[in-house]
Amino acid sequence: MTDETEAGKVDAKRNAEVPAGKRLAGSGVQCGLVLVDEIFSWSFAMRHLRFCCFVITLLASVDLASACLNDSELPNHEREFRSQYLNQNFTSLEPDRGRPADQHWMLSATGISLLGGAIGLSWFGARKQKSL
Amino acid sequence: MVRRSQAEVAVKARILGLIWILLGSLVGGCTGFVSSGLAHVLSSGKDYEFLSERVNLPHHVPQYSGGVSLRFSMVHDVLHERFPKHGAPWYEERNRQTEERLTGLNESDRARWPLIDDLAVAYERLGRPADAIPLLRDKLQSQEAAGVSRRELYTTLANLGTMLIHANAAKARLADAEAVERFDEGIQLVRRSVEVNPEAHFGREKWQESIAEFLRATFQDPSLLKKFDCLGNRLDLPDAEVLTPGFDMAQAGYSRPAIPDFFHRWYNTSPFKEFSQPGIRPDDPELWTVLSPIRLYITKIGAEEGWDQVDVPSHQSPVPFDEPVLGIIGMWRQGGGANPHFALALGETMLRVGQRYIAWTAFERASLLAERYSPDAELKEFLRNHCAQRQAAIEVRLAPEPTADKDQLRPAFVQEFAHGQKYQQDYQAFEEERIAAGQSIDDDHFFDDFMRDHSSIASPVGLEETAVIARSSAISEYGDRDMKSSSLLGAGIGAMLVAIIGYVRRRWKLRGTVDQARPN
Repeated sequence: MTDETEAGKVDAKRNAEVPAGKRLAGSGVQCGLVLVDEIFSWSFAMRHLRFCCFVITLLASVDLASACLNDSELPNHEREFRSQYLNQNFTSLEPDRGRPADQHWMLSATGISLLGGAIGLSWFGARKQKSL
Repeated sequence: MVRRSQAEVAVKARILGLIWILLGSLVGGCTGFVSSGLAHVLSSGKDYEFLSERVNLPHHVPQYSGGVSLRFSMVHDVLHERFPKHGAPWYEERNRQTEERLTGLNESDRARWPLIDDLAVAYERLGRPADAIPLLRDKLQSQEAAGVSRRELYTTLANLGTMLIHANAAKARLADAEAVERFDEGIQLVRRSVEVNPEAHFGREKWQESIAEFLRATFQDPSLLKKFDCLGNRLDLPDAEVLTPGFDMAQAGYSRPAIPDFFHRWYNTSPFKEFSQPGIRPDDPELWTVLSPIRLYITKIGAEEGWDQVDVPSHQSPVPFDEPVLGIIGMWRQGGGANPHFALALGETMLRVGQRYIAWTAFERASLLAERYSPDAELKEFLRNHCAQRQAAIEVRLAPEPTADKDQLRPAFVQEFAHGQKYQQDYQAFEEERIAAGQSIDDDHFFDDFMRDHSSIASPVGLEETAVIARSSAISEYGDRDMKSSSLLGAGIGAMLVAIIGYVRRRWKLRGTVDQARPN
């Protein structure tokens, strides 16, 4: 039988969702992206203005398939990338909670003691009673 | 004679007592054994939490031997621009140096080729991809004429393909035949680059190819942008299916970075055994052959229902989530930077692997980039609404959790994003200052002073990269021990009960005898 513990589930859930980055205070600068209001007009001037905006937007969107550039710097980038993330060790691979002490030996010891006690009681108890 | 028979009776009584004790211990032992066994049979996972251990997630084994494996903090960092990025002065300076070197070389000199890549990439970074294309076409022609190996063509094919795609995307969207042809040529070249070097740079080219194919398909059918992200994750997949509460993945198949079998079939056999060795490096190339089967347990995403109708031949079935995510990270960091398609795909993917905070951030970033999603205002609005809806669903799920503060999500994003942007601005300002001061960009110690003043911008890797698991062997071992000790305890209790009953019975009997013998 294999199982993931309920606590494990909670842990995995919690851990899986820990924001990876260290939250650092920023300067409060805005993100620099301006959302353009859509103004709808059929006037001639507006149509031309809209067409120009459209073309500008298209030109601005050329990076939609941005991707794979290979230059002499790339190997260094990759080395740094690896060292930044992959050389980090987790604090510990042990679970958060401590493993409780194995209580089986206590149960066994109690059982043996009781057994010994029972034999003793039966044997010596009978002798004591006999002496009475 | 009487004394002897009394002694015999006493011995017999003792032996009888011991037999009773033996029977009592037998009954007690059996009771302990059965009750312990039943308790194990009827127990649920939470009863074994003390046996659990933390293990790496299967995506820590890279797709290729010696390759890079994903960490969630990488996704977090690209979304917040937490990585160094050169500015225009740095590329201008590099071009100046490269052009100087090129003038000193013969036209047929092979040493020109990497320099041409540098020159072309810098043009691209400076927003002039059209200037780079003739250079790369000449380079490709020279290389083919020189009969170089296919592998040596890789950088030329990848760079030229990328730049053709970049330079022609806008016009291709407007159905300009020439631009569409060049765009398609770009896809073909990237495809060739994947063929000659499939594992290059986090597998970026493969994903560039499929994303470009998807975008090409959206030129003809823009409504696809309402159905899928660029990896084929359905945008209309109900929140409840991707935000599965608890761990019931049976229905949705999503919500964790590893499939349920990873958690439920944790045996002490290969590759699990090797994978869970303390101190192991899952990305160690020497262990890759042994460990790579663990990748079968990575949650697959993309290419969801209906994707087979979209003309994306290079990506037709779901893939382990880390593969396209690494590709996107590579393109984001070393390609053209942020764009809404990447942010949206990261959001949908992170949602499907249970990273709700990162997913929320990705949707926030996608929403901020919506202006570049499509020229169509309706599609831009669609993206914003979709992101807001996903974010709201995440917030609803987070609300009952005591550690979650949904009201802090946006302020935290703003702060973190500003921190990343500030770092990049400082980095570029430092470059500009040093170049102006005459320091060579080839100097190995160029950034030493900057690094001294700034700690690493990369986010730390944390426990989000681990799973908590109780092994089957540990559970059955525990069960065995528990049944043995319970049996022993039961035997002791049973024996003691019998002994006490016998003792009390004898005392009672003895008292009766004494009472009868006492003279009235």
